[in-house]
Amino acid sequence: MTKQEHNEQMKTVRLVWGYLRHNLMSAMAYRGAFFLQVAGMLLNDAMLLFFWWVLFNRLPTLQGWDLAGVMTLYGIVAFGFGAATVVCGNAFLVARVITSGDLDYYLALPADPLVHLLVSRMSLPGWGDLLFGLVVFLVAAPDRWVSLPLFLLLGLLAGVILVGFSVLVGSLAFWVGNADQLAAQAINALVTFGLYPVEIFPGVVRVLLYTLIPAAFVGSIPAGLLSDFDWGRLAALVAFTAGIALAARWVFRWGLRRYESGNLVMVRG
Amino acid sequence: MTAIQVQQLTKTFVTREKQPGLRGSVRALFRPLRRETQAVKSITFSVEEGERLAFIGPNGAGKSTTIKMLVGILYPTSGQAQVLGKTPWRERSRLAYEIGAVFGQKSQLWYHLPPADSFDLLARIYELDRAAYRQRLAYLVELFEVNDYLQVPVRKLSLGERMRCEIAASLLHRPRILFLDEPTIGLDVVVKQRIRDLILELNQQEGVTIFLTSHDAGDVEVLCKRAMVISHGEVIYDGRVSTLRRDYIRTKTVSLKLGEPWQGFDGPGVRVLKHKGYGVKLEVDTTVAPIEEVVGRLLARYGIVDINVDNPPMEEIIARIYEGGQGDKETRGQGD
Amino acid sequence: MARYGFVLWTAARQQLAYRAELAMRAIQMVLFMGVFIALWTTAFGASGQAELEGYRLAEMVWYLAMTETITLSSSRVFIEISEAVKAGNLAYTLTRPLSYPFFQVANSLGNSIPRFALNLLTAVAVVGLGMGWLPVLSPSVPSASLRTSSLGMNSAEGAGSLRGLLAFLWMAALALLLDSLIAVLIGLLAFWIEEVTPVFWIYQKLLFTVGGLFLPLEMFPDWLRRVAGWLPFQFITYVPARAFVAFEPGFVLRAMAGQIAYVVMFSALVVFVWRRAQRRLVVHGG
Repeated sequence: MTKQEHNEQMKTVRLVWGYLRHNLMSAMAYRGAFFLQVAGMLLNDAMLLFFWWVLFNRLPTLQGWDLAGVMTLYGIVAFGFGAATVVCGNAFLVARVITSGDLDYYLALPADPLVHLLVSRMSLPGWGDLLFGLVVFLVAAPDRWVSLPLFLLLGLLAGVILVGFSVLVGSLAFWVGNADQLAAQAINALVTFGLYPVEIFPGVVRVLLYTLIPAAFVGSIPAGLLSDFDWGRLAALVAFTAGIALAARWVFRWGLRRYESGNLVMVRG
Repeated sequence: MTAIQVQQLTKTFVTREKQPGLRGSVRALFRPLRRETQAVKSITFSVEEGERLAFIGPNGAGKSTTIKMLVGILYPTSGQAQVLGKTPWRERSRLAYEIGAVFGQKSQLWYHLPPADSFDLLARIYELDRAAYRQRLAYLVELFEVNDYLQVPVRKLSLGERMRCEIAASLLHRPRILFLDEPTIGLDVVVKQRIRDLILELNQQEGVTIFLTSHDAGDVEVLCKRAMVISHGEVIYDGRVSTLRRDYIRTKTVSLKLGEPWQGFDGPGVRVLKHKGYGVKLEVDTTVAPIEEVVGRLLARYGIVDINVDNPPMEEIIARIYEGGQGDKETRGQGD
Repeated sequence: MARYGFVLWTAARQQLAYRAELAMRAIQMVLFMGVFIALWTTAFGASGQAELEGYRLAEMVWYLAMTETITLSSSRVFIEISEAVKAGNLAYTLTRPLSYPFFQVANSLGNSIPRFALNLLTAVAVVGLGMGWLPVLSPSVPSASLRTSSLGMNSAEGAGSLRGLLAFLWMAALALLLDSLIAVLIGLLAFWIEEVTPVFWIYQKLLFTVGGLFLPLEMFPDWLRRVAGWLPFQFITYVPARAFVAFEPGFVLRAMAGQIAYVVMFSALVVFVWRRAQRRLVVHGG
């Protein structure tokens, strides 16, 4: 890495940190509302947990998953989702930023437009998901303190996949008019499917969840790593995560070039 | 040094038009109707550092397209531009450190936080050295007199106070060019003047090049020495504001609310635009009758509840220029 | 003539926009149901039984569809009421002693019932397509317990006799009434509490859990089942759905009695709270 590349990276890190601080301060300005949103999200997340608890009261296992297993899965996805929306609060809104022209604001500033766009907003309920995921893991995992570092790593990887996927589908807005509805549905599908063990789905759907909507990589695979660790599979997961992040960056840059040429499709009539 | 140099800058948008209805959608798939719109037609101009330029034109004239190209957000179809020695669309990020922008309608400040926090964030975005930033901030805070509001959440500030903070924010990183878009929109007369004075002062003290877009003729007259009028993608006037004033801002509109019904008013250069009940709107040709005289006579004649004297709207000025300047594409005023 | 055409066209366009939103919600329901159909299919397969607590796969899916339908149609009138309280618009109601809250109940029902109809149709479509079949309206199942002999997943009998459907509709109506009463009550709390939304959240979550949204009460551990049996929440979500899935006159009668009992109780509560609220209005003035 050249000195310049190193400087560029440090610049980005400082920017992200700056926004985190700033967004948190903004949240603290309305402390009551902030805590309320977090509490609401905690309550929301508890619902699926209730379901699993009752279900596993009646069934010992489900396709090899027991209560501790699904809770760990849930913990990873919730933590990842929380981390993603707290740091990159605009991830799910990429399409809307592009179509509304707000992208210009980020382009006129010195920082990297994609990073700037992503971190300029923080989701407050996301803190609830983050907390929930962590607590659920600590409750469920048998060797909690030993596995904690691995859990945090896996949670963050899940978060990166979520952000990467969101940027990918959001970037469709550079080419297609109504991308923002489509993107929202795709992201919703990813999160929804990601919460459940991939083995419960029939074959065709399962293929989808390993490819187009990589829900398996968000929940089932990392959860599997916690109960049955394997360096090879971890490496594969990291590679996949890096791959989707790079693809997202690349697609966004490609779309940005199109945006700068000004020739977005305009529909009249 | 030349701050901005533009040569035959052209921007053509290619749009695919879709006719309404199902037939139109099908047709668009196989034989899309390509329409070329020339937003900016080969314009050429240059701006020296420290100049104060007004860039005016009706909506859709190519103003924002040109500015986007100068900032580097859009790249041209053909032509060249150099802003502070850099090609904007190729070195956008590096250029961003040296230019600033204020948009009257879009805020750079965070709504729920005090301006001080937004300033800190901007310092981070622009990678300002801590010590230099503090000094700069102190200077700007004093100049703009915003010390009392530094810790007050932006949402609690009046529009005027907010605008002063916005402009201060845009100057934190010592930009060499400041793009201002409608900076005084929505402000009352006294505050407008104050903001204009501050911008002037900054220009004089630091030599910041001012590139103003405004629909407010007052902004143009007070702030800028030079005006460029763009219409339909072409520069139809490029000269001194004083000449613009002399040649094209010849009228003023007087809006009155009377204490008694309107009974007409005699006088050369005075034309009634409309009247209804106790309200009247007059147009005064200031080359024929000075405005003070007309107002004086009106005051003597009628009991006046409220009176407003306004410049003609920018659109009218431009329309007049366009009519007059058809043959004259680029005119430089006499004696600079 | 052209003018009327334009008006019609604009109205049609508005319906289209509304339909886009409906499509979105339908897709979300499809996603949700799809996941749970897969889940239950796997669960039934894993348990090796054709029945879980007396429910067959098809019945479980229908159960979920019906609880979803009711929950999605539930009342949000508490928002309107709490805003009115905050804005101080209620002083005029002092002249009319009882009508305001019950007017709001009626208002809420007027909103919920059309949404219910729409949600029901969507749910039927989603399950019909997802499961590949629709319950055939057969004569009622004999009034034995729910554990009747199963005829396999693709049997045409089981869920959805005509009487089951009718019972469901009646009980759903009572459920929505009860839900509206509770929503009004929550709204009225705005006289005493700054933010009533958290109260609503708690109510909603209780509906989802002990009310039996995801799972019928039969699946609960015994102690929870007994607790839930006394609470009002099951009378909103569980009871109508269960009647649809396995019509049984004894159950229906007991359940409806319970619903009516709670309706009466909450109506009395609303009257009581409203009287206190009015007193507060008079003292503090709007």
